[in-house]
Amino acid sequence: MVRKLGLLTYVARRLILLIPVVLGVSMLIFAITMCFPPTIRALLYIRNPQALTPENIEGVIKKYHLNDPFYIQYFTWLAQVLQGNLGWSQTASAPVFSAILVRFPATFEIIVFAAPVIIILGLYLGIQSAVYKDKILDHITRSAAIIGWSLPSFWFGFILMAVFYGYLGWLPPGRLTREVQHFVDSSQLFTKYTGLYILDGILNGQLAVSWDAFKHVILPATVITVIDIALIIRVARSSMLEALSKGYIITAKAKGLTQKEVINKHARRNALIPVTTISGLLVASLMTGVVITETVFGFGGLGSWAAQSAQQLDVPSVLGFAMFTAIVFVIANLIVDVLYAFIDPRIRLA
Amino acid sequence: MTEERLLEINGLVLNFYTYEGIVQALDGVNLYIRDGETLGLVGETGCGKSVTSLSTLVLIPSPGKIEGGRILFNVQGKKVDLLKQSDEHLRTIRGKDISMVFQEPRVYLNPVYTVSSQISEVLVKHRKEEFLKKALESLKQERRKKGLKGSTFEMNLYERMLKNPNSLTNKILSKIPGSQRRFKLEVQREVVRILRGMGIPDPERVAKMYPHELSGGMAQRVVIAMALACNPKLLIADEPTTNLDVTVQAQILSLIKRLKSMFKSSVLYITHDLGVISEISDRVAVMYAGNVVELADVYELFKKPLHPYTRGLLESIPRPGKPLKSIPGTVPSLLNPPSGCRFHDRCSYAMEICRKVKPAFTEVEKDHFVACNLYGGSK
Amino acid sequence: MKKVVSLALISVFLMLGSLLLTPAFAAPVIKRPMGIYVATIEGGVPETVDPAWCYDTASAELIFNVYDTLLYFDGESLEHFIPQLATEYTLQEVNWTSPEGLFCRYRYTFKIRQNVNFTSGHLLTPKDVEYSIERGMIQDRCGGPQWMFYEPLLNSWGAEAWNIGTATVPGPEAELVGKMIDHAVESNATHVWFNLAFPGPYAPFLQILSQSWSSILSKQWVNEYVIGTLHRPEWPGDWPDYTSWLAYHDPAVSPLDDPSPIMCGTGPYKLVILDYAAKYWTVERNVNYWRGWPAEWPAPPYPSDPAKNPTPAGYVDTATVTWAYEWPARSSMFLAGDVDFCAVPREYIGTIVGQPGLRCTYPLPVLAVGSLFFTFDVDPATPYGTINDYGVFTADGIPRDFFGNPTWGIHTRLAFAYAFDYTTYLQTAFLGEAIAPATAIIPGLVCYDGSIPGYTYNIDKAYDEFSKVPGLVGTGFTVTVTYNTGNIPRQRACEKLKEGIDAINAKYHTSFVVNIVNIDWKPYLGAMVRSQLATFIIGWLADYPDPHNFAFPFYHSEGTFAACQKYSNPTMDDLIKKGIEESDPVKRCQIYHDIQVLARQETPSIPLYQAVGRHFERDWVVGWHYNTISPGIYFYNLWKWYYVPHSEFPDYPPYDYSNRLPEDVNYDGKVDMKDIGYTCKSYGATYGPPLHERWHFRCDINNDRKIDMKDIGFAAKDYGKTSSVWAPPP
Repeated sequence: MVRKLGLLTYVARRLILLIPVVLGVSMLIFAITMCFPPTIRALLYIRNPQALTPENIEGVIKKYHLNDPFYIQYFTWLAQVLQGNLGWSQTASAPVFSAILVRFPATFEIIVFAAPVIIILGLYLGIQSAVYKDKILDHITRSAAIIGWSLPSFWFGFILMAVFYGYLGWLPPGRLTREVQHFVDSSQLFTKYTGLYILDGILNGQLAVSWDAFKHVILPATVITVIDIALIIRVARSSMLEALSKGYIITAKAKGLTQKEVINKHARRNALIPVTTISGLLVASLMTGVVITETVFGFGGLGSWAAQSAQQLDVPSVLGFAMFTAIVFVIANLIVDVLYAFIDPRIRLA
Repeated sequence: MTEERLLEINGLVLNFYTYEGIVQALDGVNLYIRDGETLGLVGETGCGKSVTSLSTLVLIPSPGKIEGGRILFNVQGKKVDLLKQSDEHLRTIRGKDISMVFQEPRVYLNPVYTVSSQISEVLVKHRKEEFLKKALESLKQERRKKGLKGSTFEMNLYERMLKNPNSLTNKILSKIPGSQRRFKLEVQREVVRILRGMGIPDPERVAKMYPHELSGGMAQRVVIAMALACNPKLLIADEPTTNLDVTVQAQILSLIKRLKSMFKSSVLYITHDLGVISEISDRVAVMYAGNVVELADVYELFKKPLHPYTRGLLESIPRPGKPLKSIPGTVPSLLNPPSGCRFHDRCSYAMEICRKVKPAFTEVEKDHFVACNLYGGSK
Repeated sequence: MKKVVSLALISVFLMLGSLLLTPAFAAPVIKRPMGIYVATIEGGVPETVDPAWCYDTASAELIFNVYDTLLYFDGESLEHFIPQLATEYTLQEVNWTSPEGLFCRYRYTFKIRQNVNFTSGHLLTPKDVEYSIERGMIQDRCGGPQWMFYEPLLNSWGAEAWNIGTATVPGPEAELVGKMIDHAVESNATHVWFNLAFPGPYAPFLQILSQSWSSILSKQWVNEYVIGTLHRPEWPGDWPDYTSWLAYHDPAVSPLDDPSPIMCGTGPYKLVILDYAAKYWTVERNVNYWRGWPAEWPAPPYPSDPAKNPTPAGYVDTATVTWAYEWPARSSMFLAGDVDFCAVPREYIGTIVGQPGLRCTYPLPVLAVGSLFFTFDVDPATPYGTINDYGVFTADGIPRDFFGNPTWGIHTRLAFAYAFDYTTYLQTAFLGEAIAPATAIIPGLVCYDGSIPGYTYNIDKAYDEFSKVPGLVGTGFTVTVTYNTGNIPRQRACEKLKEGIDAINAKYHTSFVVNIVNIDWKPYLGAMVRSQLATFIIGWLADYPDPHNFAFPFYHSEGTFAACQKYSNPTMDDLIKKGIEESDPVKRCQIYHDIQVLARQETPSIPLYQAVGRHFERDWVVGWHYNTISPGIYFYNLWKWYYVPHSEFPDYPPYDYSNRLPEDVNYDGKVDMKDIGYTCKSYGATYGPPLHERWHFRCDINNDRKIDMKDIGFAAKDYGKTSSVWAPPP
């Protein structure tokens, strides 16, 4: 009982700490924009850069305090952000906030299929590699992992698309087939509850939509899985090897436990800690957009929009995306820390 | 203390195949332990004491390989060679008939599990039937008291598990949460009882703690508790008190003595501290560079050490008012051990023959064995 | 257990095997017979759905399928128009003075079609036309197309030409401008008329009225829905006073776009969804379209093959344009038949041409040209290169008037013209699919004169020209040539120029140095405007297919480019002014001939490339035809059906197509039996609607929408003639 309460207070404390961390990050990001001249910074508040004429630029600067001290500008901007207004994205022809909101589900859908496979399969293969160190399984797993990591994502994506779509015609690019997209976007029978088409299809009772969306998600998720699983395998393997060299493994064996029990019960939980760190970072970075994969398959997610905004110097979009990324990473770190507390009781809860 | 030899090691040879070459760690180790006896195994660091004890449990880490000898252990009247047993059989022996206590308790306890969970692990492994029966009985009694007939799901489960411990359905059924509450409770009670028996105050609280929350002495008691949970016939203690304060050390030693008399088990106590040896052992084995060089009753050894190395050890015990004496030279590398008797290059009594011929382990007096060319018996 | 496993494996392999075989055996079935799917380039995002705002082809493609204009180009022609929302028009010389004192010499009057409904249900009236044009002129967004109305109607370039102030603080001339706009377009129950303040009938006026910025919106719809229901800040269309219009002038974003795009037109399709995130837009058929649909048309006079075509409908119900896919995804969808039209980047043409199931139309002249400009007076404060004072030659720089000196500047310019290897450049940068015109009045425009010779590559002549500049050859020079970052053809052009100059150095041991610098687009434009670039390469796409649209920016001293170049020739200005004011087409072409001759003599800029396009579509698409000025695909003409195209013309090298004889059906430069053969194959086909299966627009020589004896007669009359093939000497 004492333990459980400790965990809850830990989580509560970290959640409360989240707020100053996010504020700090926002301050940092905002400080970077100070490098720009006021005309560019004005874009955070107004929509159309061409609307800035020599006549009204003075008025705009005054209205948004663009020449005032840092803290006034920061609070002006912050007040706006808290109302949900992150500026207007030229590349998306929409407010930055809704641009992110609309594109995030696409990326999320890919990740929600890729990440569990990466983590679970990667963990399993890494552990098996460590247990059967230097045997055939170890060599095969490690080589396959490195080959996967070395594959250029666009090349691999093209090959998959050429085989599974070009030749076999099974798994087309894009998020949905054209008719299904039309149905989803304009039919009265379909409400987009979450923007995740697979889930929305189920919620609306239109399983054909879910199936179509799923067919489109398989290839991008496969590309990401094959490439990124190497990370998890390597980390899992090395941390497992380290755990297996510890004293309590001998104790466990001396107690008469089977090899399986020793690995699964005693070693694995200790091996999880570095894997949790890496997994958290991996999932966070995947969440904030897998640019190349999205572009190759025409998926319309966060990554391609962010890359485009950066190329076109669309300042509000880039800023909004930076804020979003920062928040995702902060939350991911929080989740990882909480998971630590679950896995490893040595982490001080006090 | 009977004359029955519980454990007998004959001519144990152990080699480690490393990148640098073959490390000849054990070069024909001989010793025996009788029922109810404490054998102290003493020697310098690196002489092979820990490896010998691990060999007893057949837990040598690779790249080590046992390449000769026998380890005879008395199981229910029959002597079996542990080196020839299957893994499955060995697992029934480990933790139950032979168990081990190590040097640094907090390293040898799993940091992510509670004390209770680690101790109950060994209980469930080896005494499962006992607790199933207990749980079933107590449940039956409760129902009778309440005046109810028939049996609950839990009781049925226990009966099935008693009848058919290996069936798949039982395994699946046992995974249902809450289906083994009484069983777990019984095990928990036993854990607390064992901890109390170790002299640990407030054992309920300690049972829920994690290893990093325990002090050194407490942790060592927990490890000992874990080792004795299933009443083993032989307890191997590999330098259990080396890292502890002297006061705590004294406590642990007295605990071990008390437990030995309570459980009537034999103890193989490994240490490099001669003081501890004199305190706790009935008999002593002295090891040097992979060989047992002398094996005798503890009084005999201290009164009349036969082997030059033993003599050197006893002389080097610091005494107030006397200059410090030490054995010249260093322990040889076991990659390239000296020929003949491995002690010959440091021995003040060395003879020509010592360089060429390895001395045999001979019984010079009753129950007093030496491996030295001084006492003849070379092969 | 093992048996089951092996049986399962065998069946899996069999299934996979059969799937592998299926593609080979399946006959190509028309996918989605009632819908068209277009995959365009990744940057093909429509910027807006507001016709008054729209100045890019992506938006125009959407707008011109949903809205109608008063009139439109007839088929491929740029000079003949067909009536759309206007049924007739007249041009009169009225010499009318507006109440504000604006003297209007000419007036265009249009009779508006009756019984046309918008998709909102409202009836089309002349009031709507007046509203649409006035609304556009009021909006006049910065960088938008409205200057094309200001020029003819108010003889100016935009509302900011007057001191109008802002919405909160109206300037002294705000009321004047409001009144002028109000009186520029007037209407009554049946007609609309435009009063032109321009001193001339403004020849391009009808062309301007044919394009997307002249689309007609419904005033009632705007008032009821846009202002009434959605409460967006749109101009209601009335003039209670003449300053409140400022509130709608030059907004940051169009009210029809923000926060969501809305459209309501009279056109054949209506907008279903425009999704920037999913990157596509879809339109669906407007069943009440005033022109009607094939169901009401007579049945086609030819039998259809039921095995291949289940129901030849004659129209499509939906059309979708998507820009979500990069080239590899796009091309695989195109080859699989999931996409009907596909944008193919030049470098991948080789992989697509010849694939089964596709049809390629080539060549398609494009009214766009990229030119190398010389700055006649470079700003010495430029960060790009060393600029000396007037007439001062140094080895590490150039004098300010290097290109612009009144005496010898022509020689440097001509020298540079001779130092560029046009043929090789076009071959490498455009794979041969481009031509280098002689002047900015490019082939395809009305009054293009093909008799004017182009520029040639000749190192010796270049050196001669350099020698005619006193003091240059001995000293040498270093000039910086610039292009905008990322534009590969322009980069190659700079490199070609450098190669040419280096060849001169090699042969004549001169020390002429060319530095190539690339600048990002925005600063590039900025530097160009400030005359800081000694040379720059930039392109121009026609707004309307009239030579004035090219002559003015390139050669008139107040034109976009000439002003940056600081090029000013009063004779040229005078000619250009006369050209746009002249009403007689023959005299007009004479004036433009003079302009072209003068431009070739003066060489203020050298046209480097006019690309020739290709169009790709699936072979089951019927009805697509090319119009140089059309921004995209007009879905009303299209339907899906298999017909065997005899029109698989082989590719011939491109040449200046404007003097192509119309009977030269296969574009090979001669009129011969091949052309007559093609015409015979199409014999009897009609344009429809619906389109006849053997129709090909090239074979209809007299544009009477029938391919018959008359067309063959033309070919016979000009038999044996060749078009002059324009190609620089090897």
